[in-house]
Amino acid sequence: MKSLFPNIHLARPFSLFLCVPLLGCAEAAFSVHTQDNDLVRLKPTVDRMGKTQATAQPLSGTGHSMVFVALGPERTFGKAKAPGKEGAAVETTLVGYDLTEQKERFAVPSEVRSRFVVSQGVVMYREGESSLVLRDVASGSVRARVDLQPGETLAGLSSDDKQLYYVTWSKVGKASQSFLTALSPQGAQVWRLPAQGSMGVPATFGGMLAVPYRYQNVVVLDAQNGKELARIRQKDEQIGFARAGAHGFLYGVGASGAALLDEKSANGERKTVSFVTPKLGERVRVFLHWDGYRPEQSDFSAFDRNRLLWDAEEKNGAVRFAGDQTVLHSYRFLFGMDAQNGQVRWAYPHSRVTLMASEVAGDTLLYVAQDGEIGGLRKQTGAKVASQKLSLKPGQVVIGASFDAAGFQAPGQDLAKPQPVLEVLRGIVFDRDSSFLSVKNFAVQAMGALPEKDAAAELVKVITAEGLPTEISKTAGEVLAKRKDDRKELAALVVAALSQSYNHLEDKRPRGLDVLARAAKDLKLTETVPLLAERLHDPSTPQPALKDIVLALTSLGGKDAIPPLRKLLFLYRADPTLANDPELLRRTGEGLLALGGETERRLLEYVAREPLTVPALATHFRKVLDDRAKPPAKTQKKL
Amino acid sequence: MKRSSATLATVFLCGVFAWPVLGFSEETSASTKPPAAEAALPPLGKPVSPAPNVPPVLDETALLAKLRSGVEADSMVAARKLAEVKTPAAFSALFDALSVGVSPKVAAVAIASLSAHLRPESLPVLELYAHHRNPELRKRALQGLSAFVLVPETAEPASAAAVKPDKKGQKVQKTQKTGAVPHEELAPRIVPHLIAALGDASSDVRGTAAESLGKRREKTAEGALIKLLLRKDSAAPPALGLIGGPETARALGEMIGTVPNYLLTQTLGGLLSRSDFGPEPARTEVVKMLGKMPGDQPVEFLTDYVKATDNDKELKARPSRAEAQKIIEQRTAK
Repeated sequence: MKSLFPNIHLARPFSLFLCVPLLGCAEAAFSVHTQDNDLVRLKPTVDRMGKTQATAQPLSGTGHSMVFVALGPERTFGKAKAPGKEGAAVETTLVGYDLTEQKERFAVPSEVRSRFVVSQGVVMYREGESSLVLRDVASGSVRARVDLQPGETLAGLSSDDKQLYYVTWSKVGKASQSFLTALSPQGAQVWRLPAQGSMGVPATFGGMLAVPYRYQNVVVLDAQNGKELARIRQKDEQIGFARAGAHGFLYGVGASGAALLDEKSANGERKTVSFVTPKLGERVRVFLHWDGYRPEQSDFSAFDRNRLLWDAEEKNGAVRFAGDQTVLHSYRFLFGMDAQNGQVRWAYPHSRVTLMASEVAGDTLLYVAQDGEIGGLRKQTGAKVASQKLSLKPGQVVIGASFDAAGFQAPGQDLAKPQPVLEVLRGIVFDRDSSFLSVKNFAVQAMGALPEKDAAAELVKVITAEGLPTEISKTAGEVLAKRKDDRKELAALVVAALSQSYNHLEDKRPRGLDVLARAAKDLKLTETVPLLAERLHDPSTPQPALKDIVLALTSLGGKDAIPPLRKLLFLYRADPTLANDPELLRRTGEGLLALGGETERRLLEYVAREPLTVPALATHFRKVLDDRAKPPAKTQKKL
Repeated sequence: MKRSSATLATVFLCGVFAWPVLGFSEETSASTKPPAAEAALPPLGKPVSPAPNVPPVLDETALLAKLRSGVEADSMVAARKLAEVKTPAAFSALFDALSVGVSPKVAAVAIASLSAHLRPESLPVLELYAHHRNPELRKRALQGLSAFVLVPETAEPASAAAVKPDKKGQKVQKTQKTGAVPHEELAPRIVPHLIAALGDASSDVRGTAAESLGKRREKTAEGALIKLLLRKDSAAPPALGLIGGPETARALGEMIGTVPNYLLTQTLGGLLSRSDFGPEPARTEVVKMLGKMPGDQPVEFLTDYVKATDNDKELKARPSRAEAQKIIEQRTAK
């Protein structure tokens, strides 16, 4: 039987029963006794969110959109270069850049150790090992400094238009404890809440805080006084983060999805909450938001340049990604993705350097590149609308940046037209930089989803290209096999690609034959049978590809498929050099049996009994023939 | 292990008979006949050498059994000996063995033995093995194919034919070619295989093909051989030296700097050593190009040329000879 109060672990149920009427009004925030998924308490919170208009103004209160940029030596694996090396001499700097005025407000030396949060004229971040610093957004001067308690670890920062918040963790004996502290813009502590177990980084919306708690809960607090308003618990998945959207709080459900905080959240199960997950294809690692329980993610890291930019909304009773679009940021590439089908609507390749930070602000996607360029793209088209450049000192690069740019208005005119998507994707796949394997894989997959006819031709080029990793070629084949192009056009492409053979004189060598054979099989391209037969007996065909060719011939069948299979089986049945791939001739024999009739059965019998046949192969075929000869087993009647 | 002929016949009927590449049903069925019947069969194709007058002392039946014994060493010995027994049965046995597959070692010997029979009926099997995954077998198959369209024991060495009087030389060559190429009528079928093999992945196979084409003075292979030289393949110069004409000489001139000098020198040397290479302006051009090549080898080629043209008044008067002498003097004076 299910317990009415699953979070209550007291040994005296009777006394607990007496206390029930008092729950919710007397318990402190984060109390283990507080009831979760209580719709009575959740509803007012949801109503409050519904009545709140998402802020369209920067949190700084200045009316100016700003970006705060950390500059310093290039970090390797999340750390600055070791002292004594070149990196040690490079100054680390915080730059405040006014996007509205398009000018640098300040640049101050500072050891930045976290992302930035902004509220009412101050920007707050971790400086050095154990202190938070609040600086004036206009001048960069220090307004206040808050030292973390000894033994406490900073888990993350947050802010709204009135206060700033930070979460710290500490250990007391074996137990872990968390603290959520609210600061005024002057740096004074407004309130501080302790909690048993781990708190995640809070999100703010409409004068409330949503705090991920103990990996399964979201605790909603009144930002003014820290009073707990409601608590939800996801019963079947972990809640990894909470963040604010245009319409309220969103929280991470599992590894690849999120949910709107609404009344359905009280159901606590993925299938019954307002859940949404992006359809980006199986090869795209979905990073929806920084993990609220990973302190290292409060600092700038690779996660800042590998994430999905999105918002969710409810429309006609269904939850969906706002505008049916998400933006995928992967190192130096940005992709506008159709959230319904995963198709790439636009793609932006930044030249040479990585984009270190990105954020959607209004109808603009803002970014800061490693070389100091601050740019903007139209969210709907990917057209470039803004480009400014920070002046960096020698050796400095951008380490990371945070935007305070809600409601940012992009200039009316485009600086550059967006490149055709296929062109960008091709550029990504054939880029000489081989370190972005996942992006290349994604680009190949995205090519497959494009409706243009040229996309299929590009995929064939990828399959047969020199120097591309096998994985990319394999993906291209799989994607090609799912294309819905005109069958004849696809057949012509595959046939042309299969015609390639090794030629020392022309310095040509066959590539991707295994992938092409699989694609021909999956697409049922019977036109390819003669060429598959040709490649099967081409000595230059790589041995690993032979098995796929045999399988394709067997699957495609037809009168032209049997002779090459026979020829292969006879020619190599006594050849021990093919023993390292026993499957090849086994599949050949089995293919003959499947395609042919009595003649092929007798042929296989000959191969099985002839003494020159490699023993393992002969044994295999004898077994296959014996199994075929056996009458089908009768079903035993139950007594 | 000796199998009953009935079993083999069944297998061949369902296997090889239906195998289009190996349309050799007549010989296949012949192999199942008793030895007496086999002996009565007329030999296929034009015999290269007269049939032995004395009956073979080898036990043919035992050899046939050994060939398919399953013991590799025995099969190899049998395959080798079957080359000497130029009977239809021996030929059929080798043909069948290669058609239905043997180990690579046995196949290598069997191909050589089958080729020794020089019967056009063996072409399908040789063509099949010319595309085998084993480069050694491809090489042997190409050698077997070449044997049909080459003068046995090869043509005369290039140097020997070098500077004989033109008229005489041509006469000699004509006699040799028309009289001794076993199956010139098969050239349209075989030569494309040889040219295609110049693009093979194995240098051994390419070398074999180039050598055969060179020996044939196969003009249609000139373009492919030039490409082979551009790929810096050492198989190209001897063949190109035997085949090339004035166009080749011009092409060589354009390769200076892109193809290693020693390969160009060998090719130019090969051209110059041929009695039929010309006309004289082209010869002079070749001499001049050789003069530009570094090392001792060009001087040796030029010296050979001068020596070879020493005995004939007409040849002695060649401007190319005078040019060669001049270059030798200049280079040896240093």
